[in-house]
Amino acid sequence: MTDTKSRYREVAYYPGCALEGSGHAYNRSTRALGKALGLKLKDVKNWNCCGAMEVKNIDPKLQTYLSSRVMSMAANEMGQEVVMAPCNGCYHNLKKAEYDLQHDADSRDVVGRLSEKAGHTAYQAGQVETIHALDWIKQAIGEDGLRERVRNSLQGMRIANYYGCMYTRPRHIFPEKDSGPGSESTSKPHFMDDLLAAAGAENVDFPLKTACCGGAHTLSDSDTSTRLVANILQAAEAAGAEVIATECPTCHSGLEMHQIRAEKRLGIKTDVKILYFTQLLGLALGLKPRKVGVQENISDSMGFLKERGLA
Amino acid sequence: MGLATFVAPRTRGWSGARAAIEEYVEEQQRHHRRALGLGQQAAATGEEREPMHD
Amino acid sequence: MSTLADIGARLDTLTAGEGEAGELLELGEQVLEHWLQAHGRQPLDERREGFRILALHRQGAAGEPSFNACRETCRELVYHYNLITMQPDHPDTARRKRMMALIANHLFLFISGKLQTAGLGEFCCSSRPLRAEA
Repeated sequence: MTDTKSRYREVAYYPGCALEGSGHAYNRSTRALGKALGLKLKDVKNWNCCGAMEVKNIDPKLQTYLSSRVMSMAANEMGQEVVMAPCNGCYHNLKKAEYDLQHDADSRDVVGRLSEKAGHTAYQAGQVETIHALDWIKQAIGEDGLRERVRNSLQGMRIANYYGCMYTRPRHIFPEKDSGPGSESTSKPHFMDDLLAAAGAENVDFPLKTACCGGAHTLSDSDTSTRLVANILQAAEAAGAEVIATECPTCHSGLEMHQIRAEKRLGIKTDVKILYFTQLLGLALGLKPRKVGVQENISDSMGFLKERGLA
Repeated sequence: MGLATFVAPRTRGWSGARAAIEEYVEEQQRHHRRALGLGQQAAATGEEREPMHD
Repeated sequence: MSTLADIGARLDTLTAGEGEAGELLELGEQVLEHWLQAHGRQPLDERREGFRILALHRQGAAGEPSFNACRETCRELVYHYNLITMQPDHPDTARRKRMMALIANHLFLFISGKLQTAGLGEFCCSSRPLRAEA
């Protein structure tokens, strides 16, 4: 167990593009949480876009190259064994690239050719382990470790944990999930539930925890996204939640923005607060709201946090 | 939203990767045009048109 | 079979109140039938794990991996159907019915959204990789 913990105490950190912009609160709270827990994040040197959805849908092999370059920087330029990506999109893409490089000779060929021309060492499958921020806290600290460090318990806070669609899908690129006791589940993920429960929160049974938020529909048909999000927010409230905890910057921004739009456009008003799990854990450890970027969120949860003695 | 909102992070030394990607994209576009039967005549005479960047 | 618009209107009513588990499950099946028919496939009348909706989802996901994004939604519909029908006197029954209506509504919104944006070409999980065969 000690070996597992030490493996994740210092990891290469790949924030990705979203965390440098709209998801900055997630970046701030992830770094603050790591610091408060005594964990070390080493930014991936000279990282690039993972290929996001846009590149992947036009040319999946090009996305594989872009993601492989990030892993190559971590492995070959920094000597790191673990890359932590808090964004579901980045995490998903790095895992997909890893899978493709393991199983597809054409992908290996394209990555090899492009890496050589670009002037860096080609990434070889298996050089690094890509993990999500949830894995990082779960493996490096664990629930017992969190319980020991909690200063402001989240006791009495009813939370719906929303994982979004990319954290667990497609199943075959996450071979470590569904692999026995203690592993994450692809059909009913629980790592966020586990961590927030350790911080004192009361998790509600939330049947839409991996449902689509319509994130990618936003540009083509905002009304579809708004209705999907409104439905998720209503379901969270119907489940008794006061807060939706998120672990993806795209989902988080979508929930926040469409919560406002749903009220204006559809007359659907919901009061559930939307906070990153890293913000909630940081607050539980005694960090101030500003330290975890609560002021950077679109939705205003300061009043709620003050009521709960967390601000 | 923080400084990063205004100062976008840049990847240093990207020119090599950009050139490699552009070359790959052009190669793929030629492949797709052939697969779709576009520009076959030009391909047959070895004078394939420049890829479109639409 | 009702039109998608009628299903949407009915679910709008049911999410505000309490739907019956049987009707909500059937509405979910109809949404999946629309998906299959829009793709030129005849919806099967088979059952999987005792439920037609699970068989229809499996049929809908064949050759369309992104359709798995609603697999858990279908399973949650079945789970809530079981909760409601097997424990009709449970104190949570009203809440469970409302939740089942919201789950059915999500299935409707997801699939009708996918059908709508599929016409736009390559886009996120809503589209087929057009160049896969090239």
